[in-house]
Amino acid sequence: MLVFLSFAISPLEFVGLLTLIAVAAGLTGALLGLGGGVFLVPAMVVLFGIDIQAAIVASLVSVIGTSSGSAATYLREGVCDLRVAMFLEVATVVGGIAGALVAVTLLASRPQVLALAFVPVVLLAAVLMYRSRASDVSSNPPHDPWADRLQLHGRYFDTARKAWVEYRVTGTKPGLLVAGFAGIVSGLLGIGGGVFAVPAMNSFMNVPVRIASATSNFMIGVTATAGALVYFFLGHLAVGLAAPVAIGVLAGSFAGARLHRTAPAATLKGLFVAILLLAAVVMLLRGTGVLH
Amino acid sequence: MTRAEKGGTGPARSDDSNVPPVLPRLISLTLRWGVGASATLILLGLGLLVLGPAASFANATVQGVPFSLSGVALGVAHGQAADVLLLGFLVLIATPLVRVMLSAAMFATARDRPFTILTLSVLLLLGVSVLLGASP
Repeated sequence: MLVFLSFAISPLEFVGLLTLIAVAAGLTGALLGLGGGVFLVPAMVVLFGIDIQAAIVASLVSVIGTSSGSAATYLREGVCDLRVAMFLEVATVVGGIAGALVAVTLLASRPQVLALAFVPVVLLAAVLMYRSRASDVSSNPPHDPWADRLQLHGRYFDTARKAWVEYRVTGTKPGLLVAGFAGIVSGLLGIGGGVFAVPAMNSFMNVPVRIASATSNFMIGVTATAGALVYFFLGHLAVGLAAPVAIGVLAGSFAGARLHRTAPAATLKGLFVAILLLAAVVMLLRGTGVLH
Repeated sequence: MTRAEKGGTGPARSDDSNVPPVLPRLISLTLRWGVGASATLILLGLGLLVLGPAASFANATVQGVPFSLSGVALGVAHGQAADVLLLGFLVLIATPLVRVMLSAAMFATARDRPFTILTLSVLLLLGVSVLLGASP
């Protein structure tokens, strides 16, 4: 039976309400440079009583659409670092597959563990978001042999300053580690992982935040695909659920990308942190069985 | 002078002179068309699903079902909502795969051996992911 806050609803109402929530998640996600999966899964579980595993798979697939859509734009604008992306994708893809495998084997019949796993991830995302400030890139960062060997150093055209900005990549090992963690979280919990990848690239690897967020968006499509392929070919994709979610998130993120320049970032950040904390509480209550 | 310096677009790289400018553009187009095609199929399938019986709609929101590619093709030919949706999601998931293949071609054309190997490893891992899902 289809329900919304325990009221029985028709298929059309279900599609309408779920699409609206997905639009909101996509919009907020795009305004903050994220996929929106962190709020989408808790919302689906709590508001519609959807099985957490099915919600995770639907969210993961929707993330591919959002990432691919925005990456196309970033590529044309020349702010995606294809080399750093490809380098980190090795780790995110391994993580994504591992996360999905754990979800379908060890946690297959333990939805409460999945709900509890959300709590630290969502709290960590809230802390990172609260504390986030773009750190300036250092012109002379510690020397990193891998970055030199793979020629990861890059530059981009700063449209505000009308000048080329060079950056030297460092910290490839911590970068790979965080990317692997972002991948696991993505495959396990159906989120993009950008909330971890962006600060990692910016703080550890000395990538300017503008390039880091575009590159993270670009990477997320492949990261999410790694986990999604496992779920999809196992037949775990509930198409009636994933369709309104994918369409809604895509529409919301398109609108969000257009609003990006006018939105007041500080207010949004506060709101986002509040929603994340609410999501953490809800998933904690769910995981411990207080909330059904 | 790289393409980026001339036009202000293209990949954010200073050493991309070996890469034919058509490849990043092709990647951008692939992403755009892949998302457009899958969104169209998903909207179509969703319409068919909502107009169909309420019970089968409710089932499709609970869990997925194992499927075969030939079954999906047959279902799409018969206008089955669930199969049209599966095809839409298949196109969506295939889009980043094609993107990685084009990236491999891009690095190979630039004779960048470490990155060609890196990109092919990502492709291989994604292939493993398919096998893990498709194996019984």
